[in-house]
Amino acid sequence: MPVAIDTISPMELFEDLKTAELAQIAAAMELLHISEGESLTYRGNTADMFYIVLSGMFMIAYQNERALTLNQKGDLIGWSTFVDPFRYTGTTTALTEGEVLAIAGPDLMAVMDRNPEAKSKIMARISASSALRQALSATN
Amino acid sequence: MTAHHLYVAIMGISIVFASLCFLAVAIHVLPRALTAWDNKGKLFEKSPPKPEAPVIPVEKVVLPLPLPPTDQDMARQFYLLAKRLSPPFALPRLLYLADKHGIRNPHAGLARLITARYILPDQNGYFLWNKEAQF
Repeated sequence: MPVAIDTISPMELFEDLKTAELAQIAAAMELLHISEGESLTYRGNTADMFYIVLSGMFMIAYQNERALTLNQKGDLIGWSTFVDPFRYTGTTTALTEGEVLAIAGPDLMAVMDRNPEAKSKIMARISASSALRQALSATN
Repeated sequence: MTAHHLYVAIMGISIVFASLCFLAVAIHVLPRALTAWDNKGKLFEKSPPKPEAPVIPVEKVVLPLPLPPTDQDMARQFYLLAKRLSPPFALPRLLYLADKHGIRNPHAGLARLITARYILPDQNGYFLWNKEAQF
């Protein structure tokens, strides 16, 4: 399902982007309806898709069975899409049905590459939001 | 033995015993006396303020939100499963056990318990059953 620009324009993640860039991102995004128990990412798989939570609760399970839950609109899943070795560090499972915005990592990067200043801010926000998750995925 | 001799013997024993007691007390008190002598200059100084008693952080109490009656049985089942796991427990493991033991819609049930603060994160990737939500 296509995504309207109004869906992403209020998001803090994209607040530095111009309307044309937002339109390009929205055009590359897809709205997914997720069922209870469905998995979005699998730990170890190639990280090619980036997700933004719109509704629902998701559990990300890391190694040693550490986990966290996400249930806020705007929560990000799949930051490994932008980080070498581009493999998901956690398995994401929907605890409830919900909706997410999905975009291929390269598509988002292509838009951001045209605006380096906005790109650095977006990457900083992604990094900040995933700080705890990076710690959990690195813990033995 | 004459009374005089007996008297002398008793006195001698008493003196020796008293001397030994005095010696024992002196040995006991000597270290303090030496310390006091070493610190005689500080005798009239203000005694240092006593360190404040350590502040023992009070465990943060998180009150759970009320669950609908239809969720009480499910919550109790999860509670019993969580009790089998050493706290803090792994959330994926609790979910696995719930599914294995036939709890209906375990994912959604778990989500409702997390939302209702029956299950709390320990900020280290593991979870705890809220002490305020006992069965």
